[in-house]
Amino acid sequence: MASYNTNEFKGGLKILLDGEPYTIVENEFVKPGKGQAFNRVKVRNLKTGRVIEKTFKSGESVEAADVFEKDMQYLYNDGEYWYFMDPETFEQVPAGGAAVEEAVQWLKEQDICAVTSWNGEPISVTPPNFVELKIVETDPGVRGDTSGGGGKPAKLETGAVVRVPLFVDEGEIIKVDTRSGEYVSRVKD
Amino acid sequence: MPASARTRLQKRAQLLADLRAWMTEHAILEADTPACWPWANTDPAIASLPAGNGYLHTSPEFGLKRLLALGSGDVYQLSHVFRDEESGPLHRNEFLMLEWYRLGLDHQQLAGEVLALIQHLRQLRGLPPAPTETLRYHELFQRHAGIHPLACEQQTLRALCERHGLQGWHGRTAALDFLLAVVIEPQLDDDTLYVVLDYPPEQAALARIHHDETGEPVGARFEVLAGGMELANGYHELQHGGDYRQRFQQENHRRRQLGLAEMPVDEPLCQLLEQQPLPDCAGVALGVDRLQLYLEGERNLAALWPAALDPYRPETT
Repeated sequence: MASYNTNEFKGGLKILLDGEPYTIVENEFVKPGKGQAFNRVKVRNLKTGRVIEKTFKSGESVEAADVFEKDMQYLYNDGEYWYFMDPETFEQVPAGGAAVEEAVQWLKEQDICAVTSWNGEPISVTPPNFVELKIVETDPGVRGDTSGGGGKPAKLETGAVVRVPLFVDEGEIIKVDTRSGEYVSRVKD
Repeated sequence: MPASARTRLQKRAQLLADLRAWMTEHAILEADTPACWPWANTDPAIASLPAGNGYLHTSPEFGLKRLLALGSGDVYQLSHVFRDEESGPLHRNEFLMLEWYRLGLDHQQLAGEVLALIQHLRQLRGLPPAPTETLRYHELFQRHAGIHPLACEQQTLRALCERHGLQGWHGRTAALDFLLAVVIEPQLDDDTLYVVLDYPPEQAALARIHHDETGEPVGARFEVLAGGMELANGYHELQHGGDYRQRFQQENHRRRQLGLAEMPVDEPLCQLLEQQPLPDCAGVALGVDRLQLYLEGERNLAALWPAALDPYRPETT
């Protein structure tokens, strides 16, 4: 099993703690003058996203987590798994509900997503920062009102609900920022 | 040179001048002992940097103790010292140390002198006197970690360390170091100068072992903490060569247990001190770079130099 010594610690390093994959967010060297040195790190659990603080005795080795991130194309959902394809090898991998939990409301077939895999299995999926999705349900548009003030809820083809300006209509395609979940603009065909 | 860089140089120069002036005023003689020796510090917590056929000094202690044994009287040295495997916002491989020795003083009296020096430097910079607090090692832990560091059960200590995120168990001493660095120091007030006294005997390093009023053995050692950093570390010094040899051997033994390389013992110093013991004295090492951070209210060593002078600049942490 590959491992890292604490003197290799830096942001972005993927390590295994209590059987879970983590990425190092921050690493600080601390040491009482006449005492033992430690590496104090902030680590993020790659499955849950939770950030915790841990301290390692300097010089210790920590098991590396076999984690990599790759851009993959979302293909389809069969009711149980969401399938992604490696655009280089055309290999298809199934991602379970927990891995796509945060992304699922933005997943549109053909879109390229960042898939994080651990031991070859997808553990988290990040959708593109901007997605273009069709509005399937919203109140009728108010013509001429381009102020955008107030707005109204609109349900998108993927199930997500976002606030859109009053002038936007059902059947239109809009651009959404997936990081904030906010409407960006109308997409004109 | 930009004005800001020049200001930084001037602040540094002023601090060095102030320190030297204070030493002169107190009749402490400046010494200039070698930085490279064939022997090294055996302390398991300190890694010496190899240089040629020897090692760079981790403090000017062994040179100055030779002078003291030869009858120099009060001495100080202001010199760069070197430590391997240390890097971070408050740690560098190379830093400036002011070390001095006072005949006839014990560690508590010398701690008082360190505070007086720092207050003097504050006054010269137009800062009000800093609040001070003197605590024993065990009181520091009782107050800020809620445990007695020596009396508490190992289970309690272990649970406390785990709760604060320590991975694995590395023994009691390492656990106390962890609590000090990660739990206690961050809680301390930024301005207050803390003196910590009476360390556990296994942390005595080269300090004498005294007995406190309950008869418990304690290391006659002190540290000055301020701004969440350790600024100074001092001892009521061991005097006899045999005691030094014994501590060095204990430290090398501890190194073996920890899987660290043993260091060549400064046997000539032991022999000199067997013939001419150190006079009754206390000594202290003060980290000048950290002292400057404290006086300027900074928390990162990178703040002290123009970037072009900083070997760590590309990876500031």
